[in-house]
Amino acid sequence: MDSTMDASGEPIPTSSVLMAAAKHIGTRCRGENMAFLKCKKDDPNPEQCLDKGRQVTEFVLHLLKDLHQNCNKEMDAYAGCMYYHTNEFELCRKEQQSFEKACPFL
Amino acid sequence: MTEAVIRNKAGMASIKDMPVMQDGPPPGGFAPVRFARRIPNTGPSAMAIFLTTFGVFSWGMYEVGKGNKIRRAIKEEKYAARRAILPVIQAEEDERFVKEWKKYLAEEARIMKDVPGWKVGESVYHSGKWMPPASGELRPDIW
Repeated sequence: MDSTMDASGEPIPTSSVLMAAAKHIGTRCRGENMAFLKCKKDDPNPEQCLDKGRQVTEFVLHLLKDLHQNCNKEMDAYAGCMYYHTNEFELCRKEQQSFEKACPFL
Repeated sequence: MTEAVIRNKAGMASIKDMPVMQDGPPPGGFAPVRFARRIPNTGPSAMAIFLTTFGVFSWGMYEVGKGNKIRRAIKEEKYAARRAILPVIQAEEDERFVKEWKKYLAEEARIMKDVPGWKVGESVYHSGKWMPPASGELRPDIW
């Protein structure tokens, strides 16, 4: 896995990329995530929560693009390490430190 | 004849004077052998042994607890990451499901269009809540 972005500059949300950016998503996207989850709790029908789901997806993709612009190499290294070690945080501590130093969350 | 040759003593008158060749003790006898019990009553007392055991066990359990805290923190990190990305993944799946569901409802409408009183996509349950379709296969295109 070479990069977290494909050729046209769009972020590829694979599991390793999402897990690598999970802490950022968790802190920055709290509002949208909580709104979507609350909508889901009230009515599990997917058709009712499509709009909030779209907000969540747009926000996360925008966030991934942001992260890639700000700390390109660190994010690619971290996502690559996650891909190699199948999303095991404990085996990627070094890349995690350098990524969080380059792109602090909030 | 051989005995007389081996056990010969100078100046023997007859073979009845031959010296005895026996396996016997060394001159002066053997060293005395101890056969009395001697189990000393020294060493740590019972209380000392018990306290040492209890202390080592407690220290070991303390280290186990420390390790469990570390492992729980690692697991918590993994679960928190999963909780953070759950909405994205669920939103993506919702989009895909709605698309497939619309196709399924159109197919159902086509099949049942001549049946009187058939409500397409009507829930088979009376609870009023939305239930995921129990068709037996979650993703038929994958399986």
